[in-house]
Amino acid sequence: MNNVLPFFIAIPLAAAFFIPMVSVALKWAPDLLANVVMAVLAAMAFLTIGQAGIYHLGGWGAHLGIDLRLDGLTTLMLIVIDSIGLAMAIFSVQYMTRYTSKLRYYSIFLCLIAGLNGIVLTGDLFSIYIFMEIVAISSYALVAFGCEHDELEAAFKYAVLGTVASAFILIGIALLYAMLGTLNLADMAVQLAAGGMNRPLTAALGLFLCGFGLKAALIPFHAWLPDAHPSAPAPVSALLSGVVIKTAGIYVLSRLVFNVFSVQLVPGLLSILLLLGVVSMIVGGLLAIGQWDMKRLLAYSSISQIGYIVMGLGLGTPLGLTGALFHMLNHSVFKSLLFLNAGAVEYATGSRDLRHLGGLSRRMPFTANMTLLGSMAISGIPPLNGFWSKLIIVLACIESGRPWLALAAVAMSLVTLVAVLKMQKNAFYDEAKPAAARATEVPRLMRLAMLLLAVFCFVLALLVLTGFRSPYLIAPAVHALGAWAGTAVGGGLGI
Amino acid sequence: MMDSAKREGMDLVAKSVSGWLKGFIFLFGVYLVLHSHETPGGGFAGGIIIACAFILFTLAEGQRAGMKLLSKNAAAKLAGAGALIFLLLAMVGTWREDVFLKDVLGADHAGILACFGENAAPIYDLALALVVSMLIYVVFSITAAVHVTVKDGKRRMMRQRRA
Amino acid sequence: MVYALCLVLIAIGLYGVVVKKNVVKIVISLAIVEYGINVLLVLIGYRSGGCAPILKQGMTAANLAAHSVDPLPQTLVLTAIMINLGMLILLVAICIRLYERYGTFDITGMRRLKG
Repeated sequence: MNNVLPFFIAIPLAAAFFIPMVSVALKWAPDLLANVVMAVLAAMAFLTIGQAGIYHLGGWGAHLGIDLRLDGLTTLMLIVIDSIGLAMAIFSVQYMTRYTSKLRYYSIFLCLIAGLNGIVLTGDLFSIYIFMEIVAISSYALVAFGCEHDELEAAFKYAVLGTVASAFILIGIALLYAMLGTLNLADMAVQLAAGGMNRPLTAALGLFLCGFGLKAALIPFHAWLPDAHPSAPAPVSALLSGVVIKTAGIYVLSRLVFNVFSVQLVPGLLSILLLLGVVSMIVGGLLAIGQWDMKRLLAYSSISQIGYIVMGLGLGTPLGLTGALFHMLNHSVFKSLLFLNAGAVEYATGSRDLRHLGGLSRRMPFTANMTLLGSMAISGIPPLNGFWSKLIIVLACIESGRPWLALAAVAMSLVTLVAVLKMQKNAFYDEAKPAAARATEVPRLMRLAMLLLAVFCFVLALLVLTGFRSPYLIAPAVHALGAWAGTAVGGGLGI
Repeated sequence: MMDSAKREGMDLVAKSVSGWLKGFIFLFGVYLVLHSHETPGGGFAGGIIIACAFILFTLAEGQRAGMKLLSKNAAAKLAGAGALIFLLLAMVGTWREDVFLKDVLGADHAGILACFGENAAPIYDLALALVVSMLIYVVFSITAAVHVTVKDGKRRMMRQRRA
Repeated sequence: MVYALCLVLIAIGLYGVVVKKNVVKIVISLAIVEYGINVLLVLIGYRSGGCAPILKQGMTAANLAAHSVDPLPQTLVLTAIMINLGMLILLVAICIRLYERYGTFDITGMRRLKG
């Protein structure tokens, strides 16, 4: 299994470079190639369940080269990235015909997937920076893909803020290297456990919190998200909101907080995460209610759900981590589903403004049902997956002695319900406005992608049956976050 | 309006000087690429200088002559080919010794491969230079293709609409 | 002391990003931030009295390791320069398209996304 790890990055990159060389005459070739590549990646991601290992790139030894590590958290993120990427690739086949150059879109899309796979696989801090920049540049290009007024303005704002965040992260990496002398994550964990914190390391940690907080769209670093996510094409919005902010933001943050700077070392760190999470949850949820643009509403509710995840991470208990990672998995699935539905509505009617839509449930019944499913999942209605992950987070709050946080979580769940019900009512269940009168159901492949994600919602709810405190995929991920120091060499990962 | 047919590109002095210089610039870029293992930057800097040679030619002679020398599509395809060569080399390591990115073209290979020295770094740098130079050229030709024309006695730079 | 000057450079760039209204000036300020960080990275690897990390005739590897400046930050800076080059290219392309759409480079005129 170890030898397959570089191919997670190499295959989409090779396809991304190969697609522009395919002749324009074969119109179906880029679609087929991209979907086949994504299907292969998704299959490989599912095959990594239960495996662990280290792969040294280039054959250099343990301390010299860059390694790729595979553990439980990596497996979880690979499944998220590649399966949602597959659904997006299926959706893009017919959605992107409205845009100018599908060839270039697939090329940048596959670069994005390659970068995302690289972030979760690598065990070297500077490689994380490189892959994060690949992800960032690809996502700026994809947000600006339509070249209309809104898209360009949103892409520029996103690009400037993202570049500043990456600059902060690079300064943090420079400080870490100056203090510790190594860039390998496992070596850094060993040295930090032995040495302890000093001022430059605290400064580096602060810079990382700011930089990755912006990538994860925590309040107060969220300003780019409500502009960038609505303006992108629908599969890109879904990928950005469902996968990129989790991979480039939360995954790297949790690796740094729990694995490298272990929690005993920096006492106030968990409280800071908790505060950021709670503020994001509350402010994001409340701001979502007042939106009239369908995708902007969903973007603000993304901020709120990321707040749930960071709050769960900030609790620090195993149950809190379980809830946070399970909610991360669930949120990617149902948020992508909701964004695809918004994209389907836009494809059919040409508008995203809730004041100009209405009565679509008669003309687009499939999309209406999928949106109902996604709305129920996001507001935590049993027996869908959102309910179980929110329940675990609420129980973790009570268990760690913060009942008022649990109350806030439940209240925000109700606020989310209000927001998505507003979207449902105005888009689907009112009387039809002129723009919606010409709508028809979306093409077959787009419906297939939405169905795939909806099936995932149900399947993920069943994960709780394998054990409430340690579900099937989540338990190895929590285990991977929990124990790392002392594993610089060899194949051992955790206790 | 635009008297582009007769007065395309810059004036005669610029054209002749750039005609002499572009060969030297290209050679300098190739020199940097071939000695990439001992100069800092390696394939990156060499690739950019090679692209500069093409850009100088396009600026001096005008866009039409520049596109005839190396069109945008050809440059994009060359960039893709360079990246694929890079990946292919990385795969060779996987096939021969089961480790990705390992260089196996060493002194123990006879024949044409031995001329590359101890390791496969020069081929990687050649591929890298190909990618970087074509990339910069494509970016230039998309964003900054200019016609320098003389209008009303003053020199004006007109941007060409994307055709 | 020299590190403080690097941080001053980064701070100048950040000031430009925040305050300037012309889109092109914002891009240039981002480039200044990047230059400052690159200089900071290279300075971290400096060893006083060290030589360049190139193996010349008559030097052994151990000799080189004892006397040269740290080559790892130089590698990081090379990669970071190329990454930032890609970022700058994309930003400038977005600026050109912005000019085509709005007719101006002034960022106060581009406020269509609100709420």
